[in-house]
Amino acid sequence: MYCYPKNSYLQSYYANVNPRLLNRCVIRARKLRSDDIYDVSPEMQRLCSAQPAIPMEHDTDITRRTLAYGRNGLRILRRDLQDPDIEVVLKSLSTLNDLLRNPEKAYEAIKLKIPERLLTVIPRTGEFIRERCSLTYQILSNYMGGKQAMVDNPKILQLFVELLKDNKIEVRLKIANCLERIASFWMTADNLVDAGFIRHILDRLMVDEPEVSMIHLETLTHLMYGNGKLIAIENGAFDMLVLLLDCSDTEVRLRALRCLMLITSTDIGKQMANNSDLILKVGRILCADEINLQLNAAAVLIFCTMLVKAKVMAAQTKLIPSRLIRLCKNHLNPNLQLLCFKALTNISEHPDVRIIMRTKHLKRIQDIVVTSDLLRIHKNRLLGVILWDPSDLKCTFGNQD
Amino acid sequence: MDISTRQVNIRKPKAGRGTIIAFTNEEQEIERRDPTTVYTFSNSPRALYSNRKLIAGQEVPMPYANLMFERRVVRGSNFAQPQIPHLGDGESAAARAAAARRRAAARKKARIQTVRAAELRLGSPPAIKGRKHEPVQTDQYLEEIFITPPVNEMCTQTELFLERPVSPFYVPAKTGVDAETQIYPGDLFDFDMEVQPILEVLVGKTLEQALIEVLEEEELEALKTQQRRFLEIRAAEACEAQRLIEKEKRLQREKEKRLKEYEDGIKIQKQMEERIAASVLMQGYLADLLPSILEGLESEGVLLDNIKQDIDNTFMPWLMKEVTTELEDIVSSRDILSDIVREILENKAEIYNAIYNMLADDEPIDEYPGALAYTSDELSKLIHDKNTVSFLPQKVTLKEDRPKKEE
Repeated sequence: MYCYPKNSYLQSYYANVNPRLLNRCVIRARKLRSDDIYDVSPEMQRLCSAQPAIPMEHDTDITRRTLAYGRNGLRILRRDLQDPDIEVVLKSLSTLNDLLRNPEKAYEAIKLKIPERLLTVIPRTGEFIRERCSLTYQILSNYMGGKQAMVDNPKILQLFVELLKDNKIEVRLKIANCLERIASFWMTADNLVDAGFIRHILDRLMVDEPEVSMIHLETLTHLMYGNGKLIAIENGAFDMLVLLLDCSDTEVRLRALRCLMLITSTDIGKQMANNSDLILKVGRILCADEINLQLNAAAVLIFCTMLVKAKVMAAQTKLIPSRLIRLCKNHLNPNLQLLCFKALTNISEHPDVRIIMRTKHLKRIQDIVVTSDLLRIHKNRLLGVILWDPSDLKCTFGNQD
Repeated sequence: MDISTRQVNIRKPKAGRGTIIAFTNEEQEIERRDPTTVYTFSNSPRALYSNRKLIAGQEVPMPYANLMFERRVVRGSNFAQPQIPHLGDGESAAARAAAARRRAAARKKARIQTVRAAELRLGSPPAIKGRKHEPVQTDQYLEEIFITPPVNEMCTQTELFLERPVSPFYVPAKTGVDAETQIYPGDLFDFDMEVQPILEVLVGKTLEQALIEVLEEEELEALKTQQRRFLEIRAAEACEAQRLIEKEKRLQREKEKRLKEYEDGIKIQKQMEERIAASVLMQGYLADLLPSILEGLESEGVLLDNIKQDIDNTFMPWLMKEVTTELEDIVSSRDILSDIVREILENKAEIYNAIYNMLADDEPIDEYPGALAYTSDELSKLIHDKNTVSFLPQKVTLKEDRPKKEE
């Protein structure tokens, strides 16, 4: 009769007292942990009812309303894109963007060559039209067919290059998202690399807003998987990315570190890192509180400290080895542990560092807790490098080879 | 209480649709019968009209009804604080609607019951034509009925200087035609009740869609995180591979460096040995070669040393002079000696020739035993011919050298 969670007996007995107040009193008196969300003021409405569903006159499901004009809806919208009235075009674009969320409609739009049709719409006056067209491209770039259709048309790619430099940030943001989605698939990423998008994106890195630059860096990460690394290095990506490490935006620094990791995995990148102060900057980032920053900084360090000169440089900054050992102790983050192990292994190959590690930090390293076989293997490798005695080698001058 | 002195016979004609017309035929009955006989009629009591709605054109007063079911009557104490109707969450709108329906059904049932009860009560039949009902006292004690009841006149006087009452608000005269309708509970559209299912579907679907989108985004994010994790492991493995490559390169460089050092050492050692050997050899040859070399060098003007110049200018002329003097002495003494020897030998030869000539006339010329006589050309051919070189005679005699037999 009385609803237990709502204390209806008390509410009927003390009718002049606010029911929610009564409920809160009962909850506090019984020391219940969770407060009922329906006791807050204003009250949160319940989404389900004890009432049976009332049948409607017509069997209507408002979530399954048929599209106006049925199968011809998209064709009519495509026709309206060429309407002389700018308002009609805007509304058509908005409707199109709503419809394209449905994958069936999106593929139908691709079949109707709506991406190509938008090429004729964008040159029309009005930044809102550009913005909506960019949104259409962004939505279509979520689908495989849309990506392929866009990269197959050089005019659309040229349009993207122009829209990257648009004076409206909303347009740039949407195009950046669109390019990021296209670059996420390796087949279409190749087309972007061939179309020279690495250079175009690098040109925009230093001038765009952090929100857009962040997406551009993500795109670069996708594009720099093969030949793209060398193209990026040729276009001066290394210096730009090193400069971006001083950016105040954490996400930008995070993605710049990811790009730097890809660049420094090449021989040229290692040489460039060797000749710059990248190790010092990365060492400073390693001391940041953000765990993702630490992770990516360690990822850069494992490739930067491959050469002998870099090992010496990393060893001279005494902060880096001790910081890496400290991060290694965080067994709750195995990825960070793995990367720190690798960085320490690289640095410890230098004889001076090896001696220091053996004399000062050996016990700390041996006490590090690892939770997986992979980590155990890398920890043992590190210990093997630290405990390696060069005097064990017998120099035969190659006579016994 | 009215008591009808006549009972009437009512029959229901078949004429008319839905309309019942009652006829009275007692007058014909009276006229036909003997007026002296007493008219009697008996019938079981029954309802005059079974359905009040079928009575056409009659104003039927509302019968007695129970006020406890009247909606317009407020029940309860007039002085107690009205209790707030409980509208807790436990009572849903559907429950309230059901309760309202139940109450409406109960009211309707009670109303029908009261109407039927009123209909069942036997009332007085209307008076026949020419007669009328008169009230008759049937009580146990009679009461005097005054035609003109006693009246006492009283009077009162209102107080003077009463304030004028407030003028009523002006209300314009009503215009138009009044119309009325009756709305029963449940006839009207209840928005709060009707909107609920639609609203629930709308909100539910919106939240469901939002939840699906959030779950999709979370799934994508989880996929990206997993992908990133794999990339980090791949980067670590790639780093390990590169480290081993670099280590191998370093070791290779070190090995090549040491091999080169070793080879250089070997080469230097060989050169040293060769130098030592050469120096030993040179020490043997140098004594012979040095003067001529020095001489050559001197002649070419390569050696231009101050000491050498001093030697050349001072020492060497002196030396040459002394050597020349010495050599002249030697040569002159050797010439003298050779002249002496020659003279002796010539003397000896003359002596031996003379002796030989004396002896040669007695003995024949004897050739060397086993000796072969060849000309110079034959001898040279013998020597240079490979076939004959091994068979050379131990002793040969040139034909020209053979002593000629004296004729």
